[in-house]
Amino acid sequence: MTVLFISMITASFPVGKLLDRIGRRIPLIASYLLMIPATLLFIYGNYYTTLLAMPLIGFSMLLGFTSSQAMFADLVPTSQRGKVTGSVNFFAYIFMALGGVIGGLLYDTVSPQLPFIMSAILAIPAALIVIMHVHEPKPEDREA
Amino acid sequence: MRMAFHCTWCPNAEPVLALPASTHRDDDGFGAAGKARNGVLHIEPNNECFHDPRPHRGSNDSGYLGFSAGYENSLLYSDSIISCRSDSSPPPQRKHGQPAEDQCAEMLRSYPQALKEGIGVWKVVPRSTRFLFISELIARFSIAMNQTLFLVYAFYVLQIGGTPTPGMAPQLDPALQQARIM
Repeated sequence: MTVLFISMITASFPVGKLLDRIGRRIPLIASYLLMIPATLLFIYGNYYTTLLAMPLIGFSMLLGFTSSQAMFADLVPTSQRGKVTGSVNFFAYIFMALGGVIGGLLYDTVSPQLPFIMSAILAIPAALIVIMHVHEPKPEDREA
Repeated sequence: MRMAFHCTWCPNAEPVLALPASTHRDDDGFGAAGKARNGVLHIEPNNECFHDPRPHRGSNDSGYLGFSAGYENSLLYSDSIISCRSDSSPPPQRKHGQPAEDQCAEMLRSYPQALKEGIGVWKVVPRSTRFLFISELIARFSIAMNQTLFLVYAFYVLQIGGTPTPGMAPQLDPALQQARIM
């Protein structure tokens, strides 16, 4: 876990700069897709592959968080931004609470690998939704 | 009477901006040179100051937004700690002389309205935002599903790490996983 957070800390600045250079949509999709091999590497790995998987997972999480935050700011008008952020957090925390409960139940009752596999599988629809339905505004059209 | 604002990062240098005294009460959000709130004068460098190592947060140039988001992620916790421990924190705000307890009660009373507005806001935002929201929920759900299980899985299933258990056979001891690989 320490390796995960170290990778997140060290990558924060470069990732922010990358988002300004290439936009938010591609890093967001990449973050979802990167989560799949990283998770598989973790669950079917050993000591050494874990040392590779955890930074990858951390990098993927950082990429996802940062790009989605930036994308929300680009898409939502300033007058609605507070309400939208509050609403996103409200529902996200509900989903996170549910995720924790379901993950624990799957781990204990079905298989220890299942929550991780489910997580990798869920990355696919999340990425597809962004690919098909989320259109990034051009830099000049972004909300101030 | 005029007020002179010095750059936060180089206070001994020439003032970065000089404004009439009344202007410092203008609370127009980010980008203003200085703002007074609760008797505490907050001075921010203007956008022409190149000594400020921070990205120009809140400037209208949204090209730096991603960089700002990354920057804020890394400083979120340190900011919170400093705010909590600061002796110079301003006292709680009082709206029209109301005690803080009344404001809390007012906040609780307005909760249903806030909830309604928070849900209703999705009708007025662009379509892409709604789909981004759905993908965000899926992502947060899947992260929450396994983030607490990483350590448990690594220890009990992959058998990595931990202090060697004296009574346990070496081939079963998770702490000796690395030795077994070697």
